[in-house]
Amino acid sequence: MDDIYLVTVVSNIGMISFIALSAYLLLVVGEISFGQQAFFAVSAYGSGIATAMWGWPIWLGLLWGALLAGAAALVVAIPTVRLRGLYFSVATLAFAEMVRLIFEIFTYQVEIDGELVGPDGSDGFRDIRAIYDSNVSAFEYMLIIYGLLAVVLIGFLILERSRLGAIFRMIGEDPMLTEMQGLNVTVYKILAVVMAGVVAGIGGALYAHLATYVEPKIFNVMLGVHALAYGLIGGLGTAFGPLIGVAIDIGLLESIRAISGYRMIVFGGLVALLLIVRPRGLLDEAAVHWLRGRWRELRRATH
Amino acid sequence: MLEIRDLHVSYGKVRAVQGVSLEVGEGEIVTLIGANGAGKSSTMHAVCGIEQPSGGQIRFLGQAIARMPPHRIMRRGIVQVPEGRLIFGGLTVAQNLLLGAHNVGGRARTEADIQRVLELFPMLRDRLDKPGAALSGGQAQLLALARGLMARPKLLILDEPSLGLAPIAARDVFALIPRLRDAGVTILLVEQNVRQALAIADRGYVLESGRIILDGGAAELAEHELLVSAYLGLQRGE
Repeated sequence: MDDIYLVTVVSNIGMISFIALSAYLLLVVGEISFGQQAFFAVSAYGSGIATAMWGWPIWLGLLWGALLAGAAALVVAIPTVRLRGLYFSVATLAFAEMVRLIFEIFTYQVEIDGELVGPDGSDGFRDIRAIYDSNVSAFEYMLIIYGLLAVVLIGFLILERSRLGAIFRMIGEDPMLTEMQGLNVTVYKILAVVMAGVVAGIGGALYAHLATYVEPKIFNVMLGVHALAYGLIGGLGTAFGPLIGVAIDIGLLESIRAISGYRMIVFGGLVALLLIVRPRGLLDEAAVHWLRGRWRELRRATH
Repeated sequence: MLEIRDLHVSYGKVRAVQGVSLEVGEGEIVTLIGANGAGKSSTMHAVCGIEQPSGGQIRFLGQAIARMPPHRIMRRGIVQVPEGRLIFGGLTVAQNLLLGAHNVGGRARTEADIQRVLELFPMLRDRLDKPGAALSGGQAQLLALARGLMARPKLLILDEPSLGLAPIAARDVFALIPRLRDAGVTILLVEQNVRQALAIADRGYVLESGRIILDGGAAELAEHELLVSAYLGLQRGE
């Protein structure tokens, strides 16, 4: 029993990490999105439809969901990336609410073994049973989540050492100066939004299959706000930052029973406090730079 | 190399540049001088594509470039080292340099360029791993110049490179500019520091209220009565 609880909490940390990384990527390019939950939702529904209704294997359902989320992100990105600051944030929020409202009325059901399966508007989408039908245990599914998270995280770490990663940070610091370096900022921003959409989508597809049930109200703005807050708490200097944010919120705050009723108050206070004393989070660029320096010294000393 | 004909730039009703014409020939150092608000930066922004001119022509190497997006103008060989906003503080010095070179292509070529640039800017060599934010104002300006060179510019536009620098740091920057020209770069220098700008320039233009009021050889301008009284003032004969 306790084991199942632990596996569920740890799985949740893993799934939420994807949307946290997604919001983080946009924070790196200097944009605040209140809408990453939309891509999480598109993929949750899309992958659920693929496995539960079309009978696709689960891996294909995950891939499909992530690609669908990426496509949705492209649709959002093209008209919005020229917007700056607050305008971009409001546009992403509006898009996400639009997606949620569409799922409130979206009905698409087929009869499978005498039962209707598929999204049914605000009643949600039940019986996304692919992992249970293929006898994947909760523990095994947790390993799948963390396997994919490791792949995405390694992708982020490679990105951050690459030219593309440096360009993303340049855009975040000063888009005008970046443009003066001969870089087409608009194209790079569209790329960042699409990549962030895919990452959120992987989380959404994993979520739908673990929960077996999704409904539109899960994907409300609070999910997007949390996703943003994780990066802001954990730090914007490295992809480990948002993961630390998730671990602090779900791992620490949720597990301390004494504050269970006040979790949101503590969490909100923590975000406010950090924005004042450490606006770019615990692991900000300076901290990451310092840690890299110490790591290099350590390696030199041991060789 | 660069020809500007009857350029106009407006911000709403404010006409910042009103019919500026100027030319920069290959291998020259040309300076554009004027007080705050004279229209220097607006002119430069129009050349780089950041500001849309409301009238006039800009030609670079014989081709019209007005109204092109900044990244395409830059790829044609015009690199601006902008005023104030200099470097990317979150990136290391090495990354700042590499990103200047992103459109040059080829790892070996870039590596050779870095060595060449570091010879001109030896003070950057032992700071390659440092974040840009850790540099002093003078060092940051030198890094911005070095990054500009990494792009292999044909024309380098320096927008007030001495702004906000201590006199010694400003002297270092001005001492470097002729060496950049010797390395084959044409330079358009926008400055308020009239005396130092004219000391290293071949020719100059004086901008006031959006119009060119004077132009000529640098030595001739330095002696011009209008300039002496308006800008050099008591500095003359110091």
